[in-house]
Amino acid sequence: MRVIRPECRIEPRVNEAIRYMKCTGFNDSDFINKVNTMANTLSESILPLGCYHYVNIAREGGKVDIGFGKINSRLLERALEGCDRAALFCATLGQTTDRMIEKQGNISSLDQMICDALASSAVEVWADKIEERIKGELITNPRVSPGYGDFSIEYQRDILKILEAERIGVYLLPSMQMLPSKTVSAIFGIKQVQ
Amino acid sequence: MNIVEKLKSSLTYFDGGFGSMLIERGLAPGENSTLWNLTHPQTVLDIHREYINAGVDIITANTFGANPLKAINYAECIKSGLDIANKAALECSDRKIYVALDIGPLGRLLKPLGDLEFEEAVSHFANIINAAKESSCDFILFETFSDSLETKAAVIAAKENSNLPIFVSNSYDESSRMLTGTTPEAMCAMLEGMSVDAVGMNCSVGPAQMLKTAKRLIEATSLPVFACPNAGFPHEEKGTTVYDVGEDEFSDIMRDFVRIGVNAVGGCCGTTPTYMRKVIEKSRNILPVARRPVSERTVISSWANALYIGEKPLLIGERINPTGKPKLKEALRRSDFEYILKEAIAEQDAGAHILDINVGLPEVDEVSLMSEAVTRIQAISSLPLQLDTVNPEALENALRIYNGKPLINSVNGKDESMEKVFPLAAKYGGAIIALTIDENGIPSSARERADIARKIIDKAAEFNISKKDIIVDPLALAVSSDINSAKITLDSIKIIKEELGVCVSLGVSNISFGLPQRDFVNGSFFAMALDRGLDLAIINPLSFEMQKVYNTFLMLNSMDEGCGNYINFASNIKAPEVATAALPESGAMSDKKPISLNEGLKKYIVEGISKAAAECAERLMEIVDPMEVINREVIPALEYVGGEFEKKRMYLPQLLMSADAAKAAFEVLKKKIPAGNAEKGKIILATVRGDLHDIGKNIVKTVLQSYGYFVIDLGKDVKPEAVLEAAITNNVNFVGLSALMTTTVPSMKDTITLLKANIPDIFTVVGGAVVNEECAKMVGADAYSADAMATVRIADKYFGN
Repeated sequence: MRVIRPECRIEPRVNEAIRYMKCTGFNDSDFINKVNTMANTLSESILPLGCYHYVNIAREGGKVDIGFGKINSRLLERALEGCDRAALFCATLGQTTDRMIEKQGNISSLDQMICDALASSAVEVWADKIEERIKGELITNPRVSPGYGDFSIEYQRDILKILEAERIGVYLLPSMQMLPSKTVSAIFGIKQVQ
Repeated sequence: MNIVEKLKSSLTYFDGGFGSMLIERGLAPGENSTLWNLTHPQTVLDIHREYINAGVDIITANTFGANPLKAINYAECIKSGLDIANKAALECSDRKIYVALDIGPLGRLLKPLGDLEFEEAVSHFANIINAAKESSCDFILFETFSDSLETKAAVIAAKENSNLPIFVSNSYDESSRMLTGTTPEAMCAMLEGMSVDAVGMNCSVGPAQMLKTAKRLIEATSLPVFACPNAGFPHEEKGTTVYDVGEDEFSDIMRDFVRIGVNAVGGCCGTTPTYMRKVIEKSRNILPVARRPVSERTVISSWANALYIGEKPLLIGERINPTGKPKLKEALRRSDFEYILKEAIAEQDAGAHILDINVGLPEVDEVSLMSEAVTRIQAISSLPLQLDTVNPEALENALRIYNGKPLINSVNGKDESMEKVFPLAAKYGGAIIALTIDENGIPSSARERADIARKIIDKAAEFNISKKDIIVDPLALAVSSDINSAKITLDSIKIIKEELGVCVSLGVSNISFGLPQRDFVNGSFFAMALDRGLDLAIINPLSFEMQKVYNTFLMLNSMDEGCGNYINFASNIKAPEVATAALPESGAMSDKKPISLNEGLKKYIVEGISKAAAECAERLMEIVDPMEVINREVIPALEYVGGEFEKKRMYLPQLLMSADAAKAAFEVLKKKIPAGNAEKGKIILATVRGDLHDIGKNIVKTVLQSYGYFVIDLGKDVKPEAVLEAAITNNVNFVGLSALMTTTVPSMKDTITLLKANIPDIFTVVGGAVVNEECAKMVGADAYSADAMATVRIADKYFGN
């Protein structure tokens, strides 16, 4: 497991956050200003951390095994197609972001909704950056996360365990929700480099 | 010689990484290494032997991951781990080898950010420590802790279940912060307050990065300090993990730790016996550095930062105290934390450095309310708190769960008070406000008040509480009942500071009790007290007068370099406030703007302008019956917005802004309506057990409140039993439940089943990201709600509105 930290500030994508709030097209200037101001405050408060780990892919009867038994998932099989190695990673904005979202809830639910949406977009930004950095020159497939399609969310447990994600302060609830709440885990296949 | 004496007398060596040694010998990623005590005891023994042969003094038993949450047979693992370590230690004949019971974090996040109860964490650690009694060890080592609250739970468990020395090692990143954002100074404040025996740091970074943190620990504590960095950062080479700092570089840098006065060094991930051998070779002959005694600074802390008292006067926000505050009283009776947290945020934004927390009312359960207030405020604020209560049980519970080292308000010169408060402060840590009052009352001379202060300081020493942790409050009494009272208090400040050398605090506004324009008096008295050397002032930080005095004082007393702070303060005052500052209606800073009734309450609500809506409601109320204002202005405005939202002609932010404006108007109008009459019905909302996402539920709450419903918000991760209890206690028949994940939908079903079994006419409505009509039927709910407006419609129908 390797820990990874951002090389620059992680800025949320404002337009993406607005889309999460189903507010695309709502061009009220007060609202847009509020979102932009919050984006600034948020990016100052987040303490992003990530970790990653390489695994070898074994296959048996078409099923893939990345270190914790055969996985029944077409989505994952497709994501790892043509690969014999994969990278697992986890990206989190840290506890301070959850505190910030909690605090906004005591100001107003609108502020909280905006802060939450921005944080969701920021963790995607951070996940993209981590993916990019691990990838480097490698040829890879797009990433997938447990909980999508038929890739059961139950695999979150194994993935976080292999990643020793606790070391970057990421914990799993019995409901498979990750804490801090703005955390992403994912896997992508690495193609044999020519 | 015990381990603490050893550390104080000579440079001591810890062993290096254990996990990485096991990985080399076949430990799989994610496998719990402590199980190897049972499956590979010889390997574990051999690793200890290698470290002893390398020359270390301390070996850490392979018990890091042996906890009830990670290994069912943890007790067995602990016993065998210690037995193996003791065996290795006894084999060494040329020197004493010390064995540490190594305890790591539990692997779950504590409330309020996680789901683990504080006392549950304490009992897990207690179980670990008690399991170790089946074998033996020289001290307890809490290692790689990255959460200050979990660290506190661990130390409490150790103090309550063992007399062994306690060493605490936290993990700091390159910026010297823990994962929770905690600084080394804040950790030292808390740990020294709890009287642990040594503090240190391990893991996370290599020696070069850790050196900075070590320097800060040395500056911040008088306790022995130890350091065990990683062999740099790991990377992969040909399928194996390699660390980027080799033995030579590692051992070179470790010499610098010794040179700055670190008492013990060792290694963490990636460091092997060879590393330790080199470290010992190179550092053994460095002359021991006498640690510079840490100045007797008074310090308190929050989960984030340490706050030093006595350097520059600081402000304690007094607004979370029900005395004379009917709204807060009402909020406390209803356990309405929304109000309390808003006050906390307002005080913090106004520049308070510490928040006083007093929730004492005869008719509330102060013990549980105090703990909950502390937890909830700490979840959203990084300011240190002052725990203000006369109830020893409330104080103890709050001290346990307080994340950091708090201020305790208060002790006084009565034996009874000192005997109750000092043992608690000695156990949990805390700086204590000492009131100069004793069995004979409040003396009427400064000299006698100083005498009581001296008596308190002496008594504290008997409990090993140092003078630096006593802050004397010489008490300000109403000048209206004794014209000398201000003078006595001011003289006391001077005498106490000069003769006793302690910090002084004062509840400033008592001075003006019974007088008109109290802020005039408070402001002048505050300035005089600051000039005498007041360190802490309990005031209303939202008072313009007090802020004016404070900010000018700092500048005039050379505490505001370049006058930057003052200029910032002064230039942010809005014009009307400067003009009316001489004759304020109240002391509060508000930005009142003139409003015209022609603009109409309806318009403000539709446009979502809260302040204008509240002010407009205030004016309207003078001429029209408030119920009529609600029916003719508020409701139609909300209906319009709600309708537009449903027709997708308005967006959710608009609905929420209007809801906030309507809520603001309601708050004003309610004052003139008999209690309860303005409420359309009582509703319980909760995010179900296991689910920690409550943004959606909060949105529903805001909109329901704006429509005049009284909402009891039980928060997130709420157990079915808690929902039932709240429904019965508050006599509520309408319950809304939310869930974000498919995995928590079963909790929804459990809650509804329990409710229906106990309250036959209960009505339940469910919603959330994964919930739909079909899912609602499946869990047995009476209704499904797609969004906030839909919930309002369902409630209106149910309550016949």
